[in-house]
Amino acid sequence: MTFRLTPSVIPEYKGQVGVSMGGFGVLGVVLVAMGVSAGPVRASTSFGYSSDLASEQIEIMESDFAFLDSAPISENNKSLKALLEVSNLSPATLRSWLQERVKFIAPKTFIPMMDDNVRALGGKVSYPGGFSEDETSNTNRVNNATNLSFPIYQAGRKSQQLLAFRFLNTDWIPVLSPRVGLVRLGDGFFRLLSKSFERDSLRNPLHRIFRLSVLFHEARHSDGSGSRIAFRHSACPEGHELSGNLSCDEPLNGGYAIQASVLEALTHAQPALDKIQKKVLDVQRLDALSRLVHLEQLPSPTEEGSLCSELVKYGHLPDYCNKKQVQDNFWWNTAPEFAEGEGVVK
Amino acid sequence: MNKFNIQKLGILAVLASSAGFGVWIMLPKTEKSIRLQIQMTPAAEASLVPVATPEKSEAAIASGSTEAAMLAPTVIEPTSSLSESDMIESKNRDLSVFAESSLERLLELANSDMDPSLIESAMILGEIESKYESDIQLSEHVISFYQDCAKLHDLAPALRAVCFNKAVKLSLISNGEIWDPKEIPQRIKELATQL
Repeated sequence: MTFRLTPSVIPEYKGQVGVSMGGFGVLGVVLVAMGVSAGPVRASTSFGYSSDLASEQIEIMESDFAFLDSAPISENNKSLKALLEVSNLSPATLRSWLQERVKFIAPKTFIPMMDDNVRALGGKVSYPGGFSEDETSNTNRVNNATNLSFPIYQAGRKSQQLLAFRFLNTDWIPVLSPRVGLVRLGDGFFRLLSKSFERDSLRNPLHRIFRLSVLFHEARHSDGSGSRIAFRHSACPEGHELSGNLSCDEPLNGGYAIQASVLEALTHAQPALDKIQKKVLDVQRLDALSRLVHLEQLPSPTEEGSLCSELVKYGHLPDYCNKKQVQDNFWWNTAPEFAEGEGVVK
Repeated sequence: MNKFNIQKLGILAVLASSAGFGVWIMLPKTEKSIRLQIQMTPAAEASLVPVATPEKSEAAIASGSTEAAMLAPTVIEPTSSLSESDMIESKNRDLSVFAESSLERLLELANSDMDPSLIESAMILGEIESKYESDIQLSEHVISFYQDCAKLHDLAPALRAVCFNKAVKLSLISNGEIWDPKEIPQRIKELATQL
């Protein structure tokens, strides 16, 4: 059996190509024939949106991307470059990086295996590596978004079948890798960050930066392979504020690190943010970094104005400012995993 | 932000101060209390009058209403008739009340189940920074606020780290000394370096 990922056209969407299967293309995977499509994508949209999403939500997300496109991202952000493994930083590279990992957007009502939205396509496939138990975060915080690619891929891996998902407005989309990029938006994604904000604030830079950072975080869950597939979160250690919850990251290049770095880059690119907005973004950034189990391994910034550079200027060098070098063990390989099977041509 | 609390605390502080007492506040859930060490001289009587909104005050003043005198805000704005030391004292009093009520609010938020408590708390810190930090005359109180905030065990690490970062930087500017208390966990300090 062979599988083909081709664009399809359904009445409410016209055109295709925007999302396509860029990630697969880059990795040289070519899938041929059999009525399985990559799903419909509205022309000129950034993602394949489920028809269950409100049009206002789609409009906001598209304008978030326009916001990203016009952000004067600093080329000198070494940390973000290293995390994304890109040689230059620009809105275009950020967009491309994200779109390789996030391709389909589902509403919070999308629950895999419900409503006939996931099925086995038949055909024999084999999955590299073993599998681990499903993991879910058990914090009582509002969920912003979830990358569903891995759980579906994992279910297929367990049963050694090729699974596919669909929205009401799409054909079946095979999940040959977490790189299929299916992200479900949670209650928190479109929320106002403070009850004191007006509804219009959803379109202000503060909220746009927040939402984009969440998508970049989720994008990392499309990466990795073997036991480190999907860069899954780990239990926060004893003594941590969220001790026992699956809300922390072992690697220094996981979703939280990326989220923090994107928050920083986009905040710096928006000098018009007021002090309160900046503080909100700073606190969100530190909150993301506080989820790094091995935070002590993270080098301290030394740029002008940073805490350690100020301390050095006054002749102090406390132990928490000691220079560190990130060890390989804390920097996971990001290459994605793909299932292999008959007709799946590399 | 939190005007009701600030005003309420302001009036409480005036009453307590004039009676020679500090004010203790029992905080919910934590069973902790914090001492409001409000350094102030008794405020003008006008501050004991029920407080009006700035909009109402302006409207009353603009209309020439005799109510204008009754609508004075709690915080006394410095006027040209005040000496410089009076002005500094007034600002300090304003900040002191604001800072203490902010610490109280941060603790309330930390112990609430409200989801965006981190954001609301961040906004309080942003407000402190935007309102007071640029005024060098207030640096002692601002540093003190950040130091207290950094020490609050119940606060999220991200908030304590922001406060620690500020406390250290402002201490350096103020006296060149490093503020590095042992009671603040190393992890909070490491987090603070990322800002």
